Amino acid sequence: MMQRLPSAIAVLLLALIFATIAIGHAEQTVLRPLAESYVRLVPHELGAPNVITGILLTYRAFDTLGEVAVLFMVAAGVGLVLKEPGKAGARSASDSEAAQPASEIVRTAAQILVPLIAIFAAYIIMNGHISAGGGFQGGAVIASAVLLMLLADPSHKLNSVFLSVTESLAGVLFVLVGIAGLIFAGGFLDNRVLPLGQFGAFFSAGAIPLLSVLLGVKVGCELSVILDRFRA
Amino acid sequence: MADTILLLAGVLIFLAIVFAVTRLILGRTIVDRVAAVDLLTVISISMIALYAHIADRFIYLDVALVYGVLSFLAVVATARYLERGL
Amino acid sequence: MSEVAGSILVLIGAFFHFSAGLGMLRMPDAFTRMQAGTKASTLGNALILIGIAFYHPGWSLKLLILIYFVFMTNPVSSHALARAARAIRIPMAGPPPQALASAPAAARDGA
Repeated sequence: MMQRLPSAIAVLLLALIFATIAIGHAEQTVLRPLAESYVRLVPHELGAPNVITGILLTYRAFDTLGEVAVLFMVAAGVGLVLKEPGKAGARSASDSEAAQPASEIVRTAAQILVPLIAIFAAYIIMNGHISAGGGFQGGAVIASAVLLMLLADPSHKLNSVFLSVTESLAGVLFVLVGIAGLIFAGGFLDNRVLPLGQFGAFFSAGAIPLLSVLLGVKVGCELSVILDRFRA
Repeated sequence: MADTILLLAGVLIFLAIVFAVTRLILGRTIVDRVAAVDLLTVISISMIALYAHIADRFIYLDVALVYGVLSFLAVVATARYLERGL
Repeated sequence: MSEVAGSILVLIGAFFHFSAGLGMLRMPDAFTRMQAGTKASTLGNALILIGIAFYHPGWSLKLLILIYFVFMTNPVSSHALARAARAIRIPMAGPPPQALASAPAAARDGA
């Protein structure tokens, strides 16, 4: 009983913190001046109903480019430190045991679920400007679909050359769209290079859907390459 | 009438969460704890859906779907690690 | 009227969740706990989501997708966990049945 005491105390403390946050939570009814100006400006100037995506991909888009660069550095660092899967070294007995596929139920379920999760990821990416969603979130869900594929069939080899080329191409296109914003419209990564369209329609808000797709592809490929490295 | 029934349902779900957390603390083997976490995530999917009904916002259901994906992957990955060491 | 029907469905679903938690607490063994936790909570989830669909008929499609997803993933993850528990030889309460009394490696070959 005494050995369970630290875990019990930890769980009770976490419950206390969560209860304090949940009870004291009240939705703000009056916005601060900066937030109010953003809420007014984004649907009017950018034509995007989702204020957060509008800020992330237009007003503060340079920060998003920095985040993309940080993710790229993380992927490069992981690739430097970990061994490449399937390379030489000794294929001992435990390796061949680890390469056995999962049971038949998991494999069949993965065949049904991987396309479903990929469609859901595409839905999240494309809905970045209309409702909650965006590029980074959709990219993470794509990587979880790849993780399911790797769990069901451990001997499946990912084509890491294709993934690396796609990821770099997406990053280059992101910067090119930004430079096009510099030449044709107000500034770097301005979204008015493409027509704004009707408010709330699927193809609207200028270049924001295009940027969301590029971000989603880049993040998905990066996280898949990192997951591939962690395999035995 | 409908609101009191919903309140009663909320109390029952809260008790279920307390039981699952008790099993998480007490669990004798590692599999007990992983199964308790799995139960907690499935209960919280329905809790998020109930909160989406209370706050009357449709987009919270997307959160429940993502939560389902992540919990499923977590349990399958843990099971595979336990079975053959990654 | 549909509101009362929806809330009664939510109450039944919550009762199934309560029984899943109670089973997780009171069952004697890891395997029986997993069984109690998965079956009851999946059905409870489905009933609660159908009950919410009575309140908001416009949400039905996404709730149906959610129900389908929970039905597909919850049993599969529990199966993978039970297989792993058998392979690392978690002790069962009471004597094991004769067919499984042989080496647990038999659980790894074949489906």
